[in-house]
Amino acid sequence: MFLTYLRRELLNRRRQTIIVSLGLAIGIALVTTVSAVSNGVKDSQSQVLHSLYGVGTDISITQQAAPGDGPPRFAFGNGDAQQSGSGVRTLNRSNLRTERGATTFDDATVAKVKAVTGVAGVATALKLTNTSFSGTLPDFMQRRFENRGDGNVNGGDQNIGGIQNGQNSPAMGSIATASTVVSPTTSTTFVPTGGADGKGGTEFSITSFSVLGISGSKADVGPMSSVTLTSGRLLTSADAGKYNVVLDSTYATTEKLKVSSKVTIGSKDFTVVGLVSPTSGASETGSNTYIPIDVARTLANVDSGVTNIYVKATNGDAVKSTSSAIAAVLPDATISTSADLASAVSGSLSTASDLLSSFGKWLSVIVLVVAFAMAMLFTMGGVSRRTREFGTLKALGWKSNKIVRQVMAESVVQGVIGGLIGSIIGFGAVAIVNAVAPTLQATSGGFGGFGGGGGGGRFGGGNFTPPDMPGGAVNPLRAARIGANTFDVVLNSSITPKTLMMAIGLAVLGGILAGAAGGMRAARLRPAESLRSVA
Amino acid sequence: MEYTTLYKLVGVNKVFKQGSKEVHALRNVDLTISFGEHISVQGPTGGGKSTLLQILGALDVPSTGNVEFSGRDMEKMSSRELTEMRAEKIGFIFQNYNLIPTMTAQENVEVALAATNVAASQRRERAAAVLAKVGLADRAHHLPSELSGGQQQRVAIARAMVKEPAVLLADEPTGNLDEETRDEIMELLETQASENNLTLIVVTHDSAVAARAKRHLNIKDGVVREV
Ligand SMILES: Nc1ncnc2c1ncn2[C@@H]1O[C@H](COP(=O)(O)OP(=O)(O)OP(=O)(O)O)[C@@H](O)[C@H]1O
Ligand SMILES: [Mg+2]
Repeated sequence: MFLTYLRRELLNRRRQTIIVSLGLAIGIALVTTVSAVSNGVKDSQSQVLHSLYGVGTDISITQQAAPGDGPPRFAFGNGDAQQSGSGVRTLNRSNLRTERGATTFDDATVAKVKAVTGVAGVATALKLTNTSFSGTLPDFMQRRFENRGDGNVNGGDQNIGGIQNGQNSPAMGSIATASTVVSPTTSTTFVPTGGADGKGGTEFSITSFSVLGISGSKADVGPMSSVTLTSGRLLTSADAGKYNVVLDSTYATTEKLKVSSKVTIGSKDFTVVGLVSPTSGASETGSNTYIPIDVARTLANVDSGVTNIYVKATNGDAVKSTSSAIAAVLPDATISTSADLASAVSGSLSTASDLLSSFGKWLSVIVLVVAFAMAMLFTMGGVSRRTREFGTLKALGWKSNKIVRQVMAESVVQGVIGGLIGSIIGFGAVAIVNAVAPTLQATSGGFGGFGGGGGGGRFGGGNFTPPDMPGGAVNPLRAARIGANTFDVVLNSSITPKTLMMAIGLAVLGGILAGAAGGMRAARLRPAESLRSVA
Repeated sequence: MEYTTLYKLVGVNKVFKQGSKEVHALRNVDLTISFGEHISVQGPTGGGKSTLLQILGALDVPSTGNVEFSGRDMEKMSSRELTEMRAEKIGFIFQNYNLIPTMTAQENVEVALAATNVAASQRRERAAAVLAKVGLADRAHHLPSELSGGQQQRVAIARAMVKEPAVLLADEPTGNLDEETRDEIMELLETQASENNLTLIVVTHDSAVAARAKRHLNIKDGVVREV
């Protein structure tokens, strides 16, 4: 009878069943979706963090230099350019420097960090940025009398204004990354053989990429702990002193480089020995290129030391105390724990994360509470409408428990139906989110990078203003990839079994609450009165 | 036929409190009812007929006084025992039939057995047999909404009968039926009662229905009189 009655009530009072189930379903769908997407965002965040700081890295140490250390400068002397004889000079310069603002730690400091209690392992790296300038400039000596344009020409030994101007700019992390081709707007009336294109003018590019000097051998902490070898080999201690490089595979693809290709870093030719990709789903590893640390030091003109120290704590709970202990030893250093790093990650990824953890959570709680309340009210209303039915059952000798159990079962089944429908809607919603595949961007930290903002650069004869960017600043999103680390992560959310179980559990809970509310009302009905209520 | 006492009421009062107002629904009722009796209960509306029936059916308890059922003092019975008594011994029939609207005729009859310890396998057979007896074998799988008033009341009678109770308590069983159907239903009730040696207590406004009984009670302002 129990099952027959249950089936009859659910099927023959379909509207009640649908309303209660659907109410719960909407609540559950929202909770599942929000939880799946926020898991997705959390995954993306940890992917980014892992790419940046290594899977096993708990604490990262850097030190900012005293202000005044400028961005890279190119100083081209008279002899640097090759006169082509056709009125242009070709300039090529590759410059390898420590990231702007970073100073180095010496071996003694690293040893001090190692000695701190709670430190399980230490890895070090020298972080550099390679900036290359290459291009042609008009031979101003030759053109001095010919140029009728508005060119602001200073002569052969010129400084490139846009870059120089950024020196004192507080805005960091922006300058061209890939080739910025500057088309001359010079109105040159004659000299048909002036420029590289044969018409006279200026064409040059500034390219920049990050270089990480690492000591060979794969560690369980530091940058190499979060990469997977995709081809070739990793650097080993045998590479010390050799011009061998491991590339980020995404960077290698964009630059059309592969194992055994040659690449110029700091004016030296390197041989690509391997390609690496991030272990996690992030699109890129922490750096574009990895070279032996001693080579990096030589090229960057630093005698010794490292810019970054990566620390693994003995256990996860000790990270905070370990980081304070390190701070006591290195008062001037910037010490970031993975938690700090997570909060330092900005961009749409962290916005999404904040949004989900505040708004999303509250929205789900509110919707869930409303859904539960609605289910309870509808169930109680249903019991009221069935007063005569329950009175009859009591008159027939049904125990109150039996009636309560029946009401309870109806609600729980409605809850389960609601949970299933809600999960299906949730799966659908997550599938839609994944189909849209929003790309979230994470920008870590503010250090590194070099300024290009500030004054509008005036190059050669042309007033160079890249599109959309006032004052000669360059698209910060692209540029920031070198300085501050920016990662694009495609959000991929999925409903985990845990989420699914939580959803069904919540739905059943909603059903139980509704059933309890309705059942209590049914139990309180006194048989004589419940029969009278309609008679 | 040897009569043994089914009900014995001594000094039964029932007072309902409605705010500050008290309604005396039954006053000092002394009544003895034997097994197998056919009794009609008449009286003006609000006289206390339904109240008496509910006390007899263990759906309500008297405010004061004593009710014995088959020699047992109902006051001393636990609510569990009273529920059991309703399930096993008492068959209720209501003016509005009170069938469960979502269940078929067959299931409505089985509901009565679900409160007893009749094995699930036997319930179906017994319910089908009783439905056949009241002439509804072919309507067994219809919902109440698909049955006429007379058919619904037959289902209600089958439901009251299926557990083979000691007493049938009917509160205006023919109130909603036309005369022809009314006589059919009363005939059915009476044959079932006499075949199974049931005590039949029928509350009615209808003198034609009352006339069929062997013993007549009248309740006015809570006072029971034999007529
Ligand atoms: N639960 C209750 N609360 C308050 N008063 C009640 C309650 N039940 C019955 N009464 C009152 O008790 C009196 C008797 O009611 P009862 O239902 O027994 O009358 P009745 O004879 O069956 O009337 P009818 O012929 O209209 O069915 C009425 O005045 C009624 O208002
Ligand atoms: Mg009445």
